Amino acid sequence: MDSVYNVIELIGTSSESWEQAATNAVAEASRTLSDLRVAEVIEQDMVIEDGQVVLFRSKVRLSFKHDSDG
Amino acid sequence: MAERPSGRAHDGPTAGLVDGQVDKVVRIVATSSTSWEDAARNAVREAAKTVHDLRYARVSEQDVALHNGTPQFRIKVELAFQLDRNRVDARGLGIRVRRVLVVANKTLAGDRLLAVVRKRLDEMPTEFHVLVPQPSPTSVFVDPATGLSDPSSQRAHLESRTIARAEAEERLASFRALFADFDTVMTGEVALGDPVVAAHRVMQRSTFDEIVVSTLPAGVSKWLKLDLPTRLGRSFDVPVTSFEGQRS
Repeated sequence: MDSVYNVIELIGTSSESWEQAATNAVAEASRTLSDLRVAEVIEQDMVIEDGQVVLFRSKVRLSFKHDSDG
Repeated sequence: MAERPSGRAHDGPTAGLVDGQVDKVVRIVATSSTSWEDAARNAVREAAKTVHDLRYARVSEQDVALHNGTPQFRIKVELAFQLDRNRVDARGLGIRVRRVLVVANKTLAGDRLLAVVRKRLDEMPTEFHVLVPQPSPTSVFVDPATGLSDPSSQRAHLESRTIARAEAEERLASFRALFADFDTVMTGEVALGDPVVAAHRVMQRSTFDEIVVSTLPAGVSKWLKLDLPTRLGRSFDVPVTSFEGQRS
């Protein structure tokens, strides 16, 4: 059966780790989206203040089936 | 430096690049036995030694190296900072704040070095980065028959490196304390090993208008035997000032 998928990108942040940042992004997405299957980490960076890492950020790409029937 | 660039990393890795503003990007590889986060923190801490205006760091590569079966988390990060934000005036026409790289180790506590610093500051606003190259002890015993180094000699080698680094860090800390009287920016770092290699690494990370080398007296100084001042002058397109400092 042919399928169409929606793809969205979210950026999650955490002061602890990139894992936590990615988890936060997925948790946020799953509040409104169901049937999330795979989340791909496509970019990671850090926010620096006064020479210290203050925030880890993970950009996550999520895909879910496009539901045209509403 | 309370003032910080606005549009920083919150806008995404490339959004901070405002029109007409030059950002310099350095790449650093760091390792940790615990996590990539820890490795990344090491990389940022390392870069912050010379650059006090870091804006964001982007991860460009991650891998795991196996070191005798133990995983080592390696990370390559790109760090960006605004080049010359303080150094050059707004129209880029002249230098507002001069940046001087001081290369000194045994003579860090000497009055002569402080006098050189004071003179620079009297002339114009100047920021300093102090590089403390400390000879790296190389004493690992390698068994000629097996080509392997004996674990106890490896341990001794690591210990002597730790001691050498601690000695130099202590000298840097005392110098930092003396420096507190001057109302200017001073960053500093210890580098184990070849002073020329260490200087290259620092010059790559930042911009300097002058290099000041404080050596031990001729005859005693290994740096003068190496002809360090001339070699630095040849490597970098900045004036090098060399003088004989005093041991503390």
